[in-house]
Amino acid sequence: MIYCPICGTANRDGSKFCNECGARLVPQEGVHEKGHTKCPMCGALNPESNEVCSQCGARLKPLVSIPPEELPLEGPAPFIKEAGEVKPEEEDFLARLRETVGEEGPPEAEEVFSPATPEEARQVPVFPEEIIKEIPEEEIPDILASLRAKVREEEALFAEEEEEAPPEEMPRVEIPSWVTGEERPPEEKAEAAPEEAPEEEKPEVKAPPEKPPEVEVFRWPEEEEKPAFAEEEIFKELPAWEEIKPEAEMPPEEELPEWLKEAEEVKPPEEAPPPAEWLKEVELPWLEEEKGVEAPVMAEIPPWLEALRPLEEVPPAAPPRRPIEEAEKEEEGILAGLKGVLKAQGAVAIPERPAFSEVAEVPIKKDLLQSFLKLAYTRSSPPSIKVPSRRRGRRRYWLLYLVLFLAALVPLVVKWPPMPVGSPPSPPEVRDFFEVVEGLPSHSPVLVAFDYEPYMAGEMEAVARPVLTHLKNRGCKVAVISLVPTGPALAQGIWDEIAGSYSYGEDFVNLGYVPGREAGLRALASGLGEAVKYEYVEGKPLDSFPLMQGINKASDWRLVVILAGEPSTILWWIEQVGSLPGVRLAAAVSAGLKPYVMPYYQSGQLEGVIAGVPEAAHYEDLLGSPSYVTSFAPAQALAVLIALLVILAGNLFGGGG
Amino acid sequence: MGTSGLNPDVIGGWVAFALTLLVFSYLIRDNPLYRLAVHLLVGVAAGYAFVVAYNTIIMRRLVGPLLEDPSQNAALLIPLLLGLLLLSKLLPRLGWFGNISMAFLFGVGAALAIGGGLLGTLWPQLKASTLSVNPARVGFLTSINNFIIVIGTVGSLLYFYFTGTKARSGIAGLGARFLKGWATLGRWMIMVALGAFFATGMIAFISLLIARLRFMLEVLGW
Repeated sequence: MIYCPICGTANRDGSKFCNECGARLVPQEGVHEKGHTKCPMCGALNPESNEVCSQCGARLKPLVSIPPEELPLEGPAPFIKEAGEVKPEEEDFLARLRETVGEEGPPEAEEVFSPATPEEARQVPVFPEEIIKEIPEEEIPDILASLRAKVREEEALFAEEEEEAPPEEMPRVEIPSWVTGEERPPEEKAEAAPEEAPEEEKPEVKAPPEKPPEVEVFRWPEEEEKPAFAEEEIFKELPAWEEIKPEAEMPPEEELPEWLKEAEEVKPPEEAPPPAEWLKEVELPWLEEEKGVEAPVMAEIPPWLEALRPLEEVPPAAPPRRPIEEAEKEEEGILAGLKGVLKAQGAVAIPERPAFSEVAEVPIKKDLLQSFLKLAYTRSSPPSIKVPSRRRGRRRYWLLYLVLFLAALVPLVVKWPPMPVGSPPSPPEVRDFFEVVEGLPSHSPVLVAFDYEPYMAGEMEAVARPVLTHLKNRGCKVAVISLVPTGPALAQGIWDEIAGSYSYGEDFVNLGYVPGREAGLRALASGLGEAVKYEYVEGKPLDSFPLMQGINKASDWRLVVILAGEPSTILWWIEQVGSLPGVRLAAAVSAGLKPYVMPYYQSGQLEGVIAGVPEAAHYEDLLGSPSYVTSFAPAQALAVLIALLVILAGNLFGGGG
Repeated sequence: MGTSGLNPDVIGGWVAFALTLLVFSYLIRDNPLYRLAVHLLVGVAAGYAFVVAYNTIIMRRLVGPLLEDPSQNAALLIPLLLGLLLLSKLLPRLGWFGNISMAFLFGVGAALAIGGGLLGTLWPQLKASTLSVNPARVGFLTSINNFIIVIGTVGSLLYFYFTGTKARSGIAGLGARFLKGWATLGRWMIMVALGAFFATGMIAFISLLIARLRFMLEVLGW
């Protein structure tokens, strides 16, 4: 791990930059590597002869670097020496500017580049004397020694100047009048050299002639990677103004020389100078087109786009201002007797929201939306919604509970006679169920699954009773099984009540609980012994019961009856057992499962369906012995009728409350 | 069921009667008596389920055979091991051992559910939806019924078809409007089906209420 020195983020080994802040994690390598120059921008290695990087184009060598052999070892800086000798190969504008300035003769080099005032000389960064003196002479590096020597030379120079002539103001440099804006630039010059005309029109002309042009100074990344030429020569090469004037320290305004103050006062000409002749000859097509255009023409906006334009906001009209003479006179308070007093209400009242102007004939739904927005803006108070009190709402619920309770209870208490449920025809699925059981041969093995929880027993017992009664009457041998742990006990209780006296193991057997849901059912369907090995009551092996002789898989049962209280269990039976060939399924389920099971009945996967107490009553009626379930019918019919009326009344008069 | 005598059935009947009243007290508001009845129901159901599973599954089908004849029933060690791994879920550091058993259970369950769903529901229901609407073949009323089934089934599927063309004219626009209208019909079919679910569910719960009232009347000797 490499930890970032800036943000402390842990980076993987070998990382060069921090993944979090991008800081460099390893020290930058040298720029020069064995005859190659490393680009300071992209890091690519380039031959030493390259001036620019072959990868990114960054300059590898400084523009103004002077070969060491051309640098004089002693004497003034070459710039000072050659200040008045403008070489033709000097290609920056400084040369031209110097040439222009030098019409009246080049300024004296010493006057231009030497510090003019003692104040400027004091700005030279000098080490404190005590520090310099404490260092032994032999330990001072060459750089510092050369610096010290130069500082001493300059101090001596300043001392001589102070002795020879009193300090004067900065010598004024003659600036041509066209630079100061008093006069336009000579056109003959532009005509003589059209390629230089744009250069002369640049505002950089206002720069002081002493200031060097914008020279791209190459900055070496590290001190030890400086080029090979001597550092002393570099310092000698630097002009004096750069040595003694750090850029950050600008002299105060009063110290500015006059020529600089005048240059600051130069203002750009109000009108652009006329284009050069060579520029006039260039014909630009768009300029020709603009000649004939007087004013912009608004483009045609399609109606749909115009319709989307937002409505203009119309500020509320300000009330007409009445003159103070006509204004009401204040009659009360400390301002009594004064006219034109602002009303207190106007100062504290909330300003009205801006109204929206009407836009006619907007063809889309924007009107509706805007009207809603306007309504929301202009509505002073929220709409009053009648919320019934909590006590009143609870009273309504109590009334509903009471009515339903009485509708279920009264028929049981008064023992209303069973309603003639057989008068309407029995549903076909119930008749089919009855026919399937009726068609079973005597002593047929039938598997009955009790797949409901005890909380569903009130309804499911009413459904299971007629089915089990019918099977008993048909002489079928019944085996019960369950996918829920409480199912076997429920089945045992019902069968004991219905069958009365029977031979356990011959007429009836309880196979108990089958775990594993789908997996248990699949095992039961493919091989009974895989799912059930022992019966529920006595725990004996299944082989010991006569009823189970010859029963090995699901298709060995003549019929499988599913008593289900949950949709998942009925689906497991249909999908895992009913899909096997030779298996006949019939379902007696809770009333709420009828929408689930009817598609399977219509597809033929279920041979019969009994759903809920009403259809169980039909089944009892088909059996010809109405007893237990039929006694439910009056209470069931009355309670359902009351519930239906309540729902209807709630939809018609409830108002959604 | 009568109220004479103090046999266990009579006592159980009165306890059930009292617990039924406690549950009915929820009609007033949620109260501790109702909570007591609910907690009793949950606790008794869980305890009973454990006893059943212990007796009929663990002892009879797993531990018993292993103790009787280990060599013949060595294969039962695999479910025993998987079951023990499930207990590692009680320890957070070793809980991942239980993932083996859970993966086995979920993998087998998912495979059975997919296979059963394809063969037991999807394919039979697809076949059942290809109904004839020819009155000469299936009769007038049956053909009407089949026509409604087909229209409702396809319309219900179209209601969940959310992509379509934006064309408002031409054949494409006509087709889009037609499909949109059919999907609206399918939405009404779905609403009717949901109404049927609600109605049958309400019938079921009214039956439960009547059964409970009838039980209470029997306890009271009515």
